[in-house]
Amino acid sequence: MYSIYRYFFSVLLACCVTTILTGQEVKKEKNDSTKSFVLNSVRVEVDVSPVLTTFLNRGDIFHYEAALQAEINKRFYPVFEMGYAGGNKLTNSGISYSGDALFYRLGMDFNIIKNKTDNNSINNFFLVGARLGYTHFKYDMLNVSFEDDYWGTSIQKDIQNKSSNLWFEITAGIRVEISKNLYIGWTARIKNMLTQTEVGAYKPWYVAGFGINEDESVWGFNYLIGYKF
Amino acid sequence: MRAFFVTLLFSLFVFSSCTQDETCREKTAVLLRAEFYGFNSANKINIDSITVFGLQQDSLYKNVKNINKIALPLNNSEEQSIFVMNLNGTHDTLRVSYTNADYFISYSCGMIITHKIDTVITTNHVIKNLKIVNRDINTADVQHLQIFF
Repeated sequence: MYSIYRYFFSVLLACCVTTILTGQEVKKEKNDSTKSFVLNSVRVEVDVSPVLTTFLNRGDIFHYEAALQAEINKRFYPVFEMGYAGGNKLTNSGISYSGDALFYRLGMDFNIIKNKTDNNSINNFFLVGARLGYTHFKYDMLNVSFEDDYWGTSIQKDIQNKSSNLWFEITAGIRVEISKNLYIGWTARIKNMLTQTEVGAYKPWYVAGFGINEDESVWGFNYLIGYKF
Repeated sequence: MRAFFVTLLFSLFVFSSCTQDETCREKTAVLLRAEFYGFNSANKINIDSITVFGLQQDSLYKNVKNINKIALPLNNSEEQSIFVMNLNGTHDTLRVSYTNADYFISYSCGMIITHKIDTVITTNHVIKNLKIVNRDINTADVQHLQIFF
């Protein structure tokens, strides 16, 4: 897992360095003209993968999200992602879990392919970047039970709990302009939970925006349709 | 365009195939582990024949020969468990007092109850003494109690 992180960080670092160096060359040519802040465009994106994944997850999980991504100085792509997701699951141990919430992610992408001309009509992107995600929500765990076969006793509890979660993501994705200002593409994410749950404490089965909460790291995918303004 | 949608459908199929393994692979048994020692030595000893049962319960060990340790389940609904030990035909009673705590393992395995030993009292017909080595009883396979004969 650490080698994957190392790889992604290396790509990200290389990307940053390339971007900075490219920027320095432009500065030499145009003197101080590129120092100003230029908002080139804003792209709104909607994740269309839930159309299929909600069905494939047999209704255990639902997940909807959209994103707003700006293009600044044709180099920086700050992004704000927001969504609503949750899980309803009868787990293997007999616990009935339910919880849903809004989630938020804030991050930055860098485009690592260069379009040949500044004003060409078709723009494609290969974006790598990072996100910080957050969600806070209430969840229910019904029928948390323990059977003691020897002493012939049983314990059964219904738990209502709150959970705050912060996680870090490394992302990679493509965007293809299929017609004027209309984009399709995907983003793959590896997510690492930063919030530590105390060992033995109750925790949510599913964290909105993060995923199934059994492992510290999970993968995520979005298939997106976007429009550039 | 067609290639994109084919790739999209294929990817969804592949990634949806990565379903979560819901099998419980963690240890769930929480047992008080006691080992037998000679009174005047630090060496473990074997008991010729032992029968152990919780008070008013079935036998946990029934005429088991040449054994030097036992593992006992504590009552999760009470804060005291009493065990009767028949050692080579003579009875001794072990009274264990403890506190209970919920411990959530995972959604695959569920919850268990762990214990923290408060006191252990024994009759002294065959048992000469005992020593609490580790007060925390959970899924770890460690020694909690030394019983001296």
